[in-house]
Amino acid sequence: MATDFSDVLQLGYDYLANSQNNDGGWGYRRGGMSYVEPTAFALLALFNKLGAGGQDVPEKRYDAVKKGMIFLRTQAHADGSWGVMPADTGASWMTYPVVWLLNVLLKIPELFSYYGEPEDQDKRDKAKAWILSKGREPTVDDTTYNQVEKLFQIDSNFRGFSWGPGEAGWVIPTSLAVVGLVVEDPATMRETVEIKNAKDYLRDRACPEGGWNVGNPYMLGKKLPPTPDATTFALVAWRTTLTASDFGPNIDTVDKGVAYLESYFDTSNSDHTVALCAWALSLFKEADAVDNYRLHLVRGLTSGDKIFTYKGQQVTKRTLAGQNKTTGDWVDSPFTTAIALLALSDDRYYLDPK
Amino acid sequence: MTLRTKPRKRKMTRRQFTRLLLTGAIGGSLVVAELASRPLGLIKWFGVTFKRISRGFGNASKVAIVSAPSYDVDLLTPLKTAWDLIDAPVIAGKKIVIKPNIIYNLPDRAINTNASVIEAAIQLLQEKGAKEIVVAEGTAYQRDLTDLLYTSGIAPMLQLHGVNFVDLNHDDIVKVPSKGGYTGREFTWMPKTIADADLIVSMPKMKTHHWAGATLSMKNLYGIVPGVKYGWPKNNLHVTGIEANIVELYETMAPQLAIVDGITGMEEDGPLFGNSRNSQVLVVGTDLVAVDATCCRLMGIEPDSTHVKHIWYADWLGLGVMNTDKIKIVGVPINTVRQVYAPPPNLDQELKRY
Repeated sequence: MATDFSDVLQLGYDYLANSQNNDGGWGYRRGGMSYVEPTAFALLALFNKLGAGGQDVPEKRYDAVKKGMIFLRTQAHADGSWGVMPADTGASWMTYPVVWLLNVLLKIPELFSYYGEPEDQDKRDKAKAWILSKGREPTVDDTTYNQVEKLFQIDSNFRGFSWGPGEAGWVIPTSLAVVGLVVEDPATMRETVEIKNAKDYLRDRACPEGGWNVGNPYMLGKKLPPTPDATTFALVAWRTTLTASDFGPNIDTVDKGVAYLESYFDTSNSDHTVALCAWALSLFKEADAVDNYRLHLVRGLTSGDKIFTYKGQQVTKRTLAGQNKTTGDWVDSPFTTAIALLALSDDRYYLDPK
Repeated sequence: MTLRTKPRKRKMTRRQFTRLLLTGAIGGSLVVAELASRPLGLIKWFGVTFKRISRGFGNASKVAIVSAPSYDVDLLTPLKTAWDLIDAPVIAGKKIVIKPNIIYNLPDRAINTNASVIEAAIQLLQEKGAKEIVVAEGTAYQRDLTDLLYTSGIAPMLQLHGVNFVDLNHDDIVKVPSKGGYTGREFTWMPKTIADADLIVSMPKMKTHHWAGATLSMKNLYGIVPGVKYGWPKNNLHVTGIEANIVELYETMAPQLAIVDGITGMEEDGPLFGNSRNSQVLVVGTDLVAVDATCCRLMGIEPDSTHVKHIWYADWLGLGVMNTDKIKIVGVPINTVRQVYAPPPNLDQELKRY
């Protein structure tokens, strides 16, 4: 029987409400500067719960979401983009998770009735237009194409999405952009040239043994190994875009990515990485396995601290703390906590809002 | 009747003509010089020239080379020896950031600054009365470097010494005016930990580098710029002029000390896939250009405009010195520890090879 994580989730949601900054945003660590990305993820995690029925939301959480949305709305730039934080007037990749969030908000009527504003539709439309025109990496000339192909063994005809306008595409921003765009209307968006091309990009950038790194599977002929963070985001993107037509190379690529994360999961000493792995694996694995990942994420190291030997000295180090049972957080980070909450929830409103 | 005479045309004398010609030529030359010296600009060029001339009358930069046979022996003693040989900065009462080079965990590759060298630096700086020491890195290839800190032994070592680690990629950020103007970027986003530091210690690994020729204490500064703003792997700093970016970061951040881990260096395809070379040295100095030039010579690489352009560029800009007659090597004579490292791949040849 699957473990009931509802108490754990409630505690985590309360932590998010309690760790919000005065300006309405969230930081990568509690008390840290408000950034757009952790703010969008904190709201996605809270929306996911609220999407399941938001009538009896504690007032503090309700206020936190309201304030968070105001923070994001006030950070929107005239061109439709978002910077990374309030003082950043440049356009950035953090526009992608905001579009994702706005799409969830706009598609769930009950959610919108509580937290939406009429301007949200316009902001989403402008942001979508910005992503498709400025977020995508530019095309390259033949000379660059050939050089990149020779040095990195990648196909520059497949255009991903970039960290900043005019720059090359990379796996994490591409994945975030894909999810952000597709959740609006999966059936339609999956068929667009941009999303199909981005899927080709992700398949092309996969590491030969499985998984993804920043976006360079090869470096001057040598294999560059995958990393769990890029692999997680790529798998979430695949989860939103897979269709029957993906049987073949695309499914093989996804399977290898899942296998890589499974193998990495038990070796990690990082709560953040464990949260990422558990999130991605919860979208692909069967219920029993997911239950184990979630228990690991919540409990951390239950059999005592890990012992490391450094120059003959034994160092006891608490590596995987799991959820703080008093405050509900993971490593006192709103960002990590938001990802952990997405990993622990059976609700999928953040990927399939309706 | 009045006889009206036509106004006489004034004829330009030869002297006037010559003067006009000269004025035009000088003016034109200034315009050409201004355009040709961009993005440096003529005024800056005069400043640089003056700095270079005046440097000729200054003292030589001291660079200490000390023997350190392996990571398993006492490294504090040789580091203290080096410290006493250079004109070391005042440490007492200062907030110090140690910036090692931590990139990737690849089996059997000496990629990262070794934990033992960082430990010796911490011990030395604590002895010298540092008010606060943090070790900080913003690694280029992954967002969560916790696991890398464990596999490299750095996390347990830091715990032993009670020293905190700061992830510069997700730190609070501030806008700092870019000095130099070599990249055309008016300002650089900088982690607050760096902006608030009294002294930055660059602690690279001694390695060749396939794009930059060598990666040492100046190139190591790429790891300071925040990933949240510049993305991973901070690619835009590579494609917008690697030399210009390195020297601009150096001038803007003004690190005051370099301690290079040259005990085991990396030759050929650095910074990731090269082979280990046991140079068995630590290299220490306050002029990072001189330190890097010396390390190049230790690797058998001439730090000229062909091989390691950013060192030559930094020297030309008067940010330090690279010529042997302006560097005073103290400690172990360079000839006794020099090894000829296999050079990094030549990109033109690489492009032909495939």
